[in-house]
Amino acid sequence: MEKNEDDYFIRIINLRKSFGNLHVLRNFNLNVKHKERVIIVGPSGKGKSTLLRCVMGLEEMDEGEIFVEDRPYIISGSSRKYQISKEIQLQIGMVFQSFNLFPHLTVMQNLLLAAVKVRKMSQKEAFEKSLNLLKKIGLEDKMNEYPSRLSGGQKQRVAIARALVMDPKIMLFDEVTSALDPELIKEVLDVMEQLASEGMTMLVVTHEMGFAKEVGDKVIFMDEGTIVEEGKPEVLFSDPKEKRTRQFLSHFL
Amino acid sequence: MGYKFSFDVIWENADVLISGFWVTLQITGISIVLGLLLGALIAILRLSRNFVLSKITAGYIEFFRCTPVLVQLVWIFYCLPIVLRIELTNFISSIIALTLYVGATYGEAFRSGIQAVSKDQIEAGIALGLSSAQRTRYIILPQAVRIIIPVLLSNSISLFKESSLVSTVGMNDLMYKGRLLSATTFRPIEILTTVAMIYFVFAFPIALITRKLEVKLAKKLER
Repeated sequence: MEKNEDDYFIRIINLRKSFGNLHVLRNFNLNVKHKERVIIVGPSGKGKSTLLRCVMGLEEMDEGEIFVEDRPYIISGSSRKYQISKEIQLQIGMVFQSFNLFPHLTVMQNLLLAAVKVRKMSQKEAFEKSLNLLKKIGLEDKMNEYPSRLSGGQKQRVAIARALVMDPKIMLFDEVTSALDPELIKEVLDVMEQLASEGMTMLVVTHEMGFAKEVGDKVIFMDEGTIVEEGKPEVLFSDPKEKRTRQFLSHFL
Repeated sequence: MGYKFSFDVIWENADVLISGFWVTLQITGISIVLGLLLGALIAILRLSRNFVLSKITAGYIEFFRCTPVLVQLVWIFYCLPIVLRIELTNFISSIIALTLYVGATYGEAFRSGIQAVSKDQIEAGIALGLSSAQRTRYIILPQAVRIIIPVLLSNSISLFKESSLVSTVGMNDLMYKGRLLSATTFRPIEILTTVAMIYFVFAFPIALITRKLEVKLAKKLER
């Protein structure tokens, strides 16, 4: 049977990345289909964030290729010094562990900035779109507040909305609940679940195993910069094949 | 028989002190404006990726920050005309020296303010597709300015006081007039105290505003 590559939204091929002598990612391959939710779990400091950062274009790969809808992400240059396609980069949205809202701008201004300056929407169009997103995450009453007046959970929901204004085709979530107090985690996961139910393609690095089981189409266990095991969540969580996976998951029981 | 304070001498010579203060304000004001321009240029060079330019600028900054302003003044007043074979009035050489000095401190304030904006903020900008120029314009500079303004104000107060050194190259500023009057009236205590009060009355409110502003602006940058 011929493999239909059109099914894949993003293909990451043979990604390698090291910081000095530390090999963070090696021989890393991952395909994500349209509308697929891929959850990446694994010990801290073993390349999960770096993977997302390479996809977002915040980190340069040492080697490897990324294709988005079969178009190459790297448009010129070779390893370590290359140009990525801005057009493709704009299809990718990212949410960070530390929220990274712009502190000098109100909630609404945080959402408007790139919509107006990058997407070139009119003020009115961008405002309406932002307002709808804020309504969706239940924070329209906070639109004129500065981020410092929001709780961590609210900040992270705004950060998700800020990424969504740009109409990304895939969303990257980098341990977005790790910096939150336990009672604030659910409100952020709820927003992500809603997003998943609307068919967003998602690549999620998380320690929330409940969320991984609930939302993931595929769960990847990553250690030492490479994929140790992957599978459907119900299979991987209940019957992991690899010893390292079992060891890691035992911490969450 | 003790010393009898007499402040009459102040009122009699008020016009002399006022004309001196006017010169002080001119010299400080012009040096601040030119220093801001120089400081901005210095910060750009210091932060440039060109290693040589960056290091030369760093050398300039450290030289002017770490040597006495008095020496800088004297050097520019006496030596620069010899080296460049030009004539400089003491007004011009005072401006040059103070501008070079304050430009170095402003430049350092600009640099540290810009670098104080966290990498996370820049990355959030990249993830939203903002170009490098847009990130500078909409993310880095607005945040840096809030960090920089109190530092600039505090540097400017220092410059205002340091400007009294121009009296040593014969510039007829407030300090010069004060010393002149002290010598001619034999009332140095009254006159120098008054001179100090004039500096204080002008600088203290700015120092207060700086403190208030610092707290207020820092609050705005809380995340």
